[in-house]
Amino acid sequence: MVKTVKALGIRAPNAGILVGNILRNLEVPGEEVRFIVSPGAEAGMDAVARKSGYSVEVTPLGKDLEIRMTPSGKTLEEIDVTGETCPGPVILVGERLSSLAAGERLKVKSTSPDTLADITAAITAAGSLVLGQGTEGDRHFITIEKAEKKEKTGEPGVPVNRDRVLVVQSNGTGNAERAYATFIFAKVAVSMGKKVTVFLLMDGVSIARKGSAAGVKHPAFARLDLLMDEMVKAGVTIYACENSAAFRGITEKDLAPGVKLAGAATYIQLLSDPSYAVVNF
Amino acid sequence: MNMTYQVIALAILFSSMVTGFIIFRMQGMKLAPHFGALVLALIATLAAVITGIPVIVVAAAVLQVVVTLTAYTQLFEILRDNFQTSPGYSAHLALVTMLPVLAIAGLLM
Repeated sequence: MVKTVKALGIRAPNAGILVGNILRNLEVPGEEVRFIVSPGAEAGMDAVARKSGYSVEVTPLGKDLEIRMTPSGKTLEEIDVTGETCPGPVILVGERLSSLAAGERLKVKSTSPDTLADITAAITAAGSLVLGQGTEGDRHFITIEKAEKKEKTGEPGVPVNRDRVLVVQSNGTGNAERAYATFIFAKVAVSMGKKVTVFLLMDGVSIARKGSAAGVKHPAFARLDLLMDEMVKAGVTIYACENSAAFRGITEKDLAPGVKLAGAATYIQLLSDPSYAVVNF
Repeated sequence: MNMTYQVIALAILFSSMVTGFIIFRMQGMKLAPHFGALVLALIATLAAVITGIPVIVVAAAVLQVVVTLTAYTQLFEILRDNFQTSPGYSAHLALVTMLPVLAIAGLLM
């Protein structure tokens, strides 16, 4: 974890002296340190950082400033998601974060502040932190610190983690937009570190029939069956309602790979589980 | 050949363009042979009504039947398992199903 030191109310050059002393006397030499200081304290920090073998980054943090001292040579990873449309940016950032260790940082740039707001919602839900934000030319950026999600304890009065998503699909291949949304939302939830279950019922079971999803293709998206396969490989559980399947003459041997039949009890159990957030399509 | 049936077929083909566009969007903008057949049948039927040339009338009649066949082959997968959304497709299917009857009537009567 990155050490955080609050040094509010101290101005330059005293703030620089303090920061220099802290960097010289760290328990773990070369450790990355984050200072929260008042405006006016940042003057001369470049020189302090250079002298201590660090590089410095100053970002606004509400009324205060965040001064991040990173050991020289340790780079801040960057990703530019300009031009990507939902859910691309969230997935790209989720994949990049998954390759980082806790405490490491990622700078995400985009021309759209709305895209960054969406990414912020996704990564904070997954436990990571947004350390700062700003603009560079025509690009807005946020700096993210990877953190592991803290588990809630289960003590009385403490809400459970809603870290699972149930996507209910009841429209099937006859409504391509809803069929796509089912697996695109599942993909985003997976990239946010959620455990995802898709429940196909009524017309939704048409997606479960082997070969059926291959007939759904929008010019802007991959074929639906490929998206579905990707989700199965990512660990998403896909259930097809046994009753709806029987209604349409779909048996277990007709099911696409990775799809399992499930009864009403499974559906009710999933809906009753408070750890699931439910999305309907 | 009775051109009245071709005029009715032309009206149905025009209407089918509208209902077809609606299901084209529901299906996720997927271009299909049915769309091509529908456009060709519309052009051929328009030419048949304007010119009255027998070979064009026959070609228009054949294309009208192809429109119906491609609609059913393309939508079979959806109609088989989608019970709740199939009404969205019914207007287009009802229209194109009239075409073979009119095509045959136009040639024989």
